[in-house]
Amino acid sequence: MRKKIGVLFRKTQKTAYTFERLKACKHCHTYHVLWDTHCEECGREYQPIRKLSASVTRRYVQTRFLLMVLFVCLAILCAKSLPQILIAGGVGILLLALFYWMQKKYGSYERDAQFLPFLSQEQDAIKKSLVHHLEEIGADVKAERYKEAYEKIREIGHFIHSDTIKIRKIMFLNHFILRKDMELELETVTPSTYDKDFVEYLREVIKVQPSLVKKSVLDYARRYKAYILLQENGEQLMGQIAGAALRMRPYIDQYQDLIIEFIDFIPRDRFLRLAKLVHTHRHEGWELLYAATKRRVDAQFAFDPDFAGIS
Amino acid sequence: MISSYQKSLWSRNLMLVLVVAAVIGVALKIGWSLQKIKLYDQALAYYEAKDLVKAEETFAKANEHAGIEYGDEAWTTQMSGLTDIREELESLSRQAQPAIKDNREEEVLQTYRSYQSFKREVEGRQEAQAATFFQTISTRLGLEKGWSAYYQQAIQHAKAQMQSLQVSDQQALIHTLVLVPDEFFGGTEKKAQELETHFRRYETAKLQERADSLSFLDVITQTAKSIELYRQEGISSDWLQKQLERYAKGEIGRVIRQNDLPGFVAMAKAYRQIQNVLPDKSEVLATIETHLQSLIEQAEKYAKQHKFTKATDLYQELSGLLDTSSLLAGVDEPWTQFDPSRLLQQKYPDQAFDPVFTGSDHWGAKTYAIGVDQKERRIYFAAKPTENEAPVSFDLALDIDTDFTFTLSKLEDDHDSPVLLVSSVGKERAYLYTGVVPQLSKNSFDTRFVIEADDLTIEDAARVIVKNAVGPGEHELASFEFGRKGLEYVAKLEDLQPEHEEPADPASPSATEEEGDSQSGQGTPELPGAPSVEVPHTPSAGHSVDVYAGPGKEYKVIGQVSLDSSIQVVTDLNGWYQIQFDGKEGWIETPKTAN
Repeated sequence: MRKKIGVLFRKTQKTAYTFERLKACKHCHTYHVLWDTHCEECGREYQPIRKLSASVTRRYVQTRFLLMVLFVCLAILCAKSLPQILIAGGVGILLLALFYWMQKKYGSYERDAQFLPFLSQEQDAIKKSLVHHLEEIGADVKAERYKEAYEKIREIGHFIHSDTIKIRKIMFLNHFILRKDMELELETVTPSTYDKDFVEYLREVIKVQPSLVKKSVLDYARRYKAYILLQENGEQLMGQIAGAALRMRPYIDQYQDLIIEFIDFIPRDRFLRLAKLVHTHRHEGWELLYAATKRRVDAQFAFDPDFAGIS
Repeated sequence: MISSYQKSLWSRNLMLVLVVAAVIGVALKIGWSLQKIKLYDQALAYYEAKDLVKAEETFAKANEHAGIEYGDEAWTTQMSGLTDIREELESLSRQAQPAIKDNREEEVLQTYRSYQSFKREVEGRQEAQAATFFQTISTRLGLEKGWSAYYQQAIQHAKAQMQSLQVSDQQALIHTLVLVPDEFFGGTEKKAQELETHFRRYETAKLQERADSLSFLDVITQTAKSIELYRQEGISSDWLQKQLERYAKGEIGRVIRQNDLPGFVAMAKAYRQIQNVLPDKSEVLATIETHLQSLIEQAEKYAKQHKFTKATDLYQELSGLLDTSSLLAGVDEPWTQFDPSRLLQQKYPDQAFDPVFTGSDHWGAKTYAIGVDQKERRIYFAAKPTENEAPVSFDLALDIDTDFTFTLSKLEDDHDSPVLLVSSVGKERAYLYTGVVPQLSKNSFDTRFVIEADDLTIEDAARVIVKNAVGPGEHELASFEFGRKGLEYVAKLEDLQPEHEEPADPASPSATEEEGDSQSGQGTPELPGAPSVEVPHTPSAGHSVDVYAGPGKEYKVIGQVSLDSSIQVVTDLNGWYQIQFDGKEGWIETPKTAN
C-alpha cells in the first residue's frame, strides 16, 4: 500500500474562458499557462493573450493610418501647383480624421474579430509551450514532486482533454490524502474507458466530497458496473455512488435502476433521505423504487425511530 | 518563426520610416514652392522696373525650385530664353578662360566660333530684349575682350618670331596664325594675303640661311617639311616649291658637271625622297632621270665593249638610285661567257689555279672552267649548265705523288664529252695516264681509265696507241680502243725490243714532240711534265702581234711579241693565250692555226 501524503494545493485562477489562462512573452514568442508572471528565458513580464492580440490589432490600425498619410504625402509631392497642394492636403486631413473617428467607434469590434485569427496564427507556438510544460511535469515526476506535477497538469488539463492527461492526474491525486477543503475534481478526470485507479480515486472522493458525483460519474459507474463489482467492496462503492445520486431528483429519475439495484448498500443517512423523499413525493414511475425502499425499511429499519412513519 | 506581434511591429515601423521620409519631402516641397513664389514675384518686379539682368537672375533662382509651376506662362518662357542665353555664355566663358590661360589654341578657336555662332543665332531671333541681354552678359563676362587680346598677342608674337628668324616651333607658329579668326586680320582675303607675305619672306630668308650653312640633304629635308606644314594647314606653298626646285637644280647640276657620281647619287636619292612635296612636273626630277638614263647607257656600252668591271662598278654605284640587280645579272651572263674562269673565281675566291682551262659546250655545260692546283694535286671544275641554271662545281683529288700535266684530249666519252688526260710519273713505266670526265649530273669526276705505259698517243676520238703498256700490250706498240669500260686492248701494231736503258725523262718535251701529236682542242696544248708549250708557227710567222693586258682587245696593249720567237703559253681563254712576256703575264690572240 502506497503511503499517501498530505498536501495543500495552490489556488487556481478562475477565468470566464480558458484562453484567458494563456500568457505570452512578446520577446521570446512563447506561451505560459502556469502561475509564473515573468518569462523564465528573458525575465520579461508575461502579457495576457488578449492584451497581446489587441496590441497586434492596434499596430495594424496604425500601419493603415500611416499608409493613408503616405498616400496623402505622395499626392502633395505629385501636385504641380499650389492649389493642387492645398486640395491634396485638405482631402488627406479629412480622410485621416474620418479614419480616426471610425477607429474610435468601431475599433473594439475589430479587436474581437482579429482575436480568433490571431489564436489560429499562434496555434503552433501555444502547442509548443504546452509540450514544454509537459516536459517539465515529466521532470517533476522523476524528482517525485507530485504536488507540483499535479498543479501543472491541472492547468494544462484546461487545454488538453485527453485520457492520458486524466489518467496522469488520477495517478498524481492518488498520492495525496484527500480532504474536504481541497479543490478536488472528479468530472474532469473521468476517463472514457475503465480505469482501476480512477475507481480507487472515486472511492476516496465520494467519502470527502460526494457532491462531486455528477451525471458523467454516474454514467461511468453504470457503464462499468461489472468491473467495479469485481473490485474489493465493489457493492459498497456502488451503494455510495447510488447514495450520491440521491442528491438531485432528476438523477433519481435517470438512475432509478442503479439505486434499486444497490439500495441495500446505500449508507444509512443517504437511505434515510431516499425514504423521506419517496414518502413525501409520489411520482409516476417510482413504484419500483417505493417497493424497494419499503422492503429495505421493513427489513432493516422497522424499529428505527428515524424511519418511523416513513414507509 | 516570426510572431504576429513582431510582424506587426516591423510593418508599422517600416511604414513609419516611409511616412517620415514622405513628410520631409512634403515639407521641402512646400518650403521650396513658397521660396519660388517669392523669388518669382521679385523677378517680375525687377522686370517691370526694366532691370533685365536682375530680373533674369532672380527668375533663374526661382526656376531652380522645380516643385511647382507658377506664374504667367508667356513671361516664364521669355525669361527662360534669357536664362538659356546667360547659361550658354557662362558655359562658353568657363571653357574659354582656361583654354586662353593654357594657350590651347584649338579650344580657344572652338569656343570663339561657338560664341559667334550663338551670337548670330540670338541676333537672328529678332528679339531686341534678347540681343540687348546677350550683349550685356557678354560684356559682363568679358568674352570678346578676352578673345581679342589673345589673338592680337598671338599675331604679334608670331610676326616677331618670323622677323627674327628665331622660330622655335614652326608648326605651332603656322598653326597659331592659321587658327586666328579672319576678322582679326580684317577679312578672309586680307588674312590670306598677309599670311602669304609673312610666310614667303620668312621662308626665303630661311632657305638662304640653310643653303649657306647646311648640307644639301638637310636643306631640302627642312624645306620639304615646311611645305608639308603649309599643306597641312591648307596654305598654298607653290612659291616655296619653286624656290626649292631652283636651289636643287643648281646643286645637282653642279655635281653632274663635276662628274661627281657619288654626289649625284646621294643628292638624287635625297631629292626623290621628298617627291611628295614637289610639283607634279618637277624639273629637277626630270634632270635626275635623264642623267640616270645616260649613266645606264654608259654602263651598257661598257658591257658591250667587254668592260664588264667598269659596267658592274657603274651599276653598283647607281644601286642607291635604282634596283640594278637585273642590270647586274644582265652583265654577269655575258661576262661569264666571255670569261668562264669567273665561275672558278666565284666558287673558290681564295684559290690560285695554274693553269686554267675554259671553254663551252662540253659535258652538257654551256660554259665551264677547269682549274689545276699542282701543289694540292687536285682538279677543280666549275660550269654553268644553261643560262638559267645555277652554276655547279666540284673537284677531284688525284691519287698521285708527283707533278703532273693536264690536257683536254681528243678522246670523247660521248658526244661533246672529251676526256681530261692527266699524265704523271708511273711506277713500272715512264708515265701513268689517267682519263677523267666531269659528270655534271653527279657533281663529280668520273675516272674512265688508268694505265701505265711508256707512251700514249691519241689517234682520234676512240683510238689510242700505247707503247709498252702494263698488262695487255706489254712490249708492244699496241692499239687500244676507248669505250664504256675504258681503254681496251685491240691489236698489236709492232713488237718492241726490250730496253735496258732507263725510260725517257717524262719531263722532257721531246718525248711527245717526237710523236708529233701535240694536244689540240679547247685546252692549251700541254706536254707531259711541262705546263707550257711553244706556240706553233703559223703562216703569219715572222709577224709581231700585240700583247694585251687582258683577254680582249678592249684591254690595254702592253707590248708586242714576235711569233717567230718561242712563246711560253700559260693558259688559253676564249681564243686568247696567256703568255709569259718579259717576266710578266700578257695575252695574245690565238693564232688561227692553233685552234
